[in-house]
Amino acid sequence: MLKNLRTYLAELEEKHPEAVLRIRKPLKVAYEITALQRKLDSLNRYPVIIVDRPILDNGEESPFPVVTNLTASRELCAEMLELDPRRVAIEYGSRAAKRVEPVRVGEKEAPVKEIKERGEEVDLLKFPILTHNYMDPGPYIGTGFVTTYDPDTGIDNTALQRIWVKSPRRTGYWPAIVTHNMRNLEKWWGRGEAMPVAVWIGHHPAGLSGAQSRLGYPESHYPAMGGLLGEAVRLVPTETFGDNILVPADAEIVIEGYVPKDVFEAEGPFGEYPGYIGPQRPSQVIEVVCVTYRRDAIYHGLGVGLADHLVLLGNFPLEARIYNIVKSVVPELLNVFVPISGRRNHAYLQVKKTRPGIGKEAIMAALPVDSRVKHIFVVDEDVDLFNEGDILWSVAYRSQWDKDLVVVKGASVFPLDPSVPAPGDVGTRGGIDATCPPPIEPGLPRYYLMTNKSPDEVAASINLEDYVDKKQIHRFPTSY
Amino acid sequence: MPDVEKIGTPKEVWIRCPQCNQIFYIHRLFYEPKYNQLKLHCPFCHTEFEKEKASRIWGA
Repeated sequence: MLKNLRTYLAELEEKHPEAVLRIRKPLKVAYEITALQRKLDSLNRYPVIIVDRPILDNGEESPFPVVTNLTASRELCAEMLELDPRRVAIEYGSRAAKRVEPVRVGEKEAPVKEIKERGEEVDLLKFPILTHNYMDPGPYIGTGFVTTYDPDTGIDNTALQRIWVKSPRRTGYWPAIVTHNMRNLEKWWGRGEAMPVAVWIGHHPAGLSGAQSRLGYPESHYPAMGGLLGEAVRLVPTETFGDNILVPADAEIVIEGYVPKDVFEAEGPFGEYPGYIGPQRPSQVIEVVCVTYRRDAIYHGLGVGLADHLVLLGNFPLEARIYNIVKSVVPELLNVFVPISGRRNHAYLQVKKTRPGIGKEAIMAALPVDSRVKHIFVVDEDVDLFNEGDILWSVAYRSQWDKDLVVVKGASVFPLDPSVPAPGDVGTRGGIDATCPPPIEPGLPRYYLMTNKSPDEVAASINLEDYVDKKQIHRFPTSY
Repeated sequence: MPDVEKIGTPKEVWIRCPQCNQIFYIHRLFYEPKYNQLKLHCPFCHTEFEKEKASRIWGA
């Protein structure tokens, strides 16, 4: 079955109508859509949000609806990929390792070519691009998958990178220094040429996950995208670059342009995935020459700095990478969870403690996996890895700061961490081993106090429903 | 340049816009020779100005 953004939305509305929030009242693209999303985030609620009547900065109603929060719910994202949400670390890797070669289609079979605009016809500001946070300088495309190619080999690379729409045909563009698109840029500029670039927006979220895969260089992301989609990605040549840059035929919008050599302008400030507003910085620009789109395009906006930004597009692949690498050296590893709360800086690892030292070995194996993972927490198999209260309880009573910390100074870090001092490329990372000591001998209980619990037969015999009306429960007071 | 408790030398420099007087922050990269001449862009009123024209600068 052909999969794209709209087939996913249709499937979602049919299977999980309760998971879709359709807003029929007008909402401004400047701040209001993200404000609504943020309020739901704060309640730990993550419906897919469809805004039928987005209002542009010029006060006009856009003919293109906005969909956002597409990749926020762990349950929905896991279901979409046919994964158990509590076993993503274990199951995602094998899905992500699959490769399905893309297929090339003609223009007539490419919905993204329904409308083509070139030169002065191009006006990016007609799309309902969101302005997210209060210090953002303007609308940012948060779900732009930027495709460039290596001029030496012709091999394409795709990455989710932020794009500030400054004017109808000019955008800011910040390829972070460690990225493969930056490597391509350096090659193009080294030749004295502007870098060709295509930015595509809107596709099935499984495909988006594949497009975010961490690959070698140079390596196309389209086969990985197909692997996660479960079918070949249909590709079509761009108007400006032809076969040099192919883009998904089933995308909603494609923007084509050049990154001119040695041109830098102020970019940002911009609220990013850590939940903090990154500073204004000198950055590259894109001069847009062409845009193609579906006649009834749906604009996919990202909840920048919210769960939408983290769960599918960051946490799932990170859990899988940490699991696969750590498991190869610590076979006692059971599971990995990267929580929304840590915004990619925290990872929780669960181990079966059969010998001393496993906790610290797991930390030492996990830290090099990704420079964004700053704090590792290792817990035992009896701890609910997905309950952060249990994680903190383990830290409270199963660790001693002088014995159980691993601290690595001078490690590479991601520059968006505000706590990292200048110049911002190295900082301190580490972990805490919050596990019990292993049993003194095999077959004995672990060397630790038993946690409080009711006797098993009593716990089994007391049914809450026999004493409490279920409808009353949500009205009882809570605590924290 | 001054140190700040916990983070040492800050990466960011605070700027007051000469036009609207609101404050925002910029990366220290703007002081490197390669980028020193670039104009800043006030995210609030969209004025572009050289950093020397800022009504106030903290942390430079």
